Amino acid sequence: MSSVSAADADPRDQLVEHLRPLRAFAISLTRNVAAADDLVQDTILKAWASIDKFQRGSNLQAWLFTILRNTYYSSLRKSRREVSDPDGAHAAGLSVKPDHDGRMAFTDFLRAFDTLSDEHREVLILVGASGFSTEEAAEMMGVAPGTVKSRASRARKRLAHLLGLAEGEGMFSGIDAITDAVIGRGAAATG
Amino acid sequence: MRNHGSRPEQDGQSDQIKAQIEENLKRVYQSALVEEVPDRFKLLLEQLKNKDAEKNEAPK
Repeated sequence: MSSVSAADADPRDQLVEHLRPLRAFAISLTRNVAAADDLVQDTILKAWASIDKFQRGSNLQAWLFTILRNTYYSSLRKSRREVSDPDGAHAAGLSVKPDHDGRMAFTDFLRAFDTLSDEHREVLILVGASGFSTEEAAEMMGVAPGTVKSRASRARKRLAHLLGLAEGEGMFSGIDAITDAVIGRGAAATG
Repeated sequence: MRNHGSRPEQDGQSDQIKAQIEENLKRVYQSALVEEVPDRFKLLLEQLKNKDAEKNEAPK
């Protein structure tokens, strides 16, 4: 990751180096390779068209990720599912128990991850998995760093709950049991 | 939002779960990261570049 040439080089020539992480982010976010590839294509076209807005020397990958997630959310808004489900409450019934040794199987994890809301998948991938800082993620997501932290914390709790790991109250915080009860009731009422 | 309460045993367990979740999240991203990028994206970038070059060469 040398930034020596970053300031002088034409960012258009550097796009190719970011295809892989960009597509990995798209796949992680959409959990669907075909949808991810469409998203990457749209992102490339948008990035190319607005390359003058990219501030040379700044983080090109973060800039591309921002375009990708904005494109994703605006396409979602257009084809919004009829039932809005920001916390993935529809998945409240799904509960995967960990193996006896307490380790969770990756397939089980994926199943739980797939049922998270887009916002929760996004924050966990940006901050937890792809190695961006809270501040960088906040900038990409267009929210305050505090929001990133609380959203990530809620997303982790949600995951733990889906994985059947949140039953011992106080796992991640003392309010889990109450939160879960409320979410469970809400899901029962609406579902 | 208190992650570290007064129950050390549970906190130990919770740290472990947290670590496992982080580990699996990294795996979600990493497993997508190792996938070969389809050629169409590199071709698209080349096409865009060629189009720009044509535009710049064209007299105004």
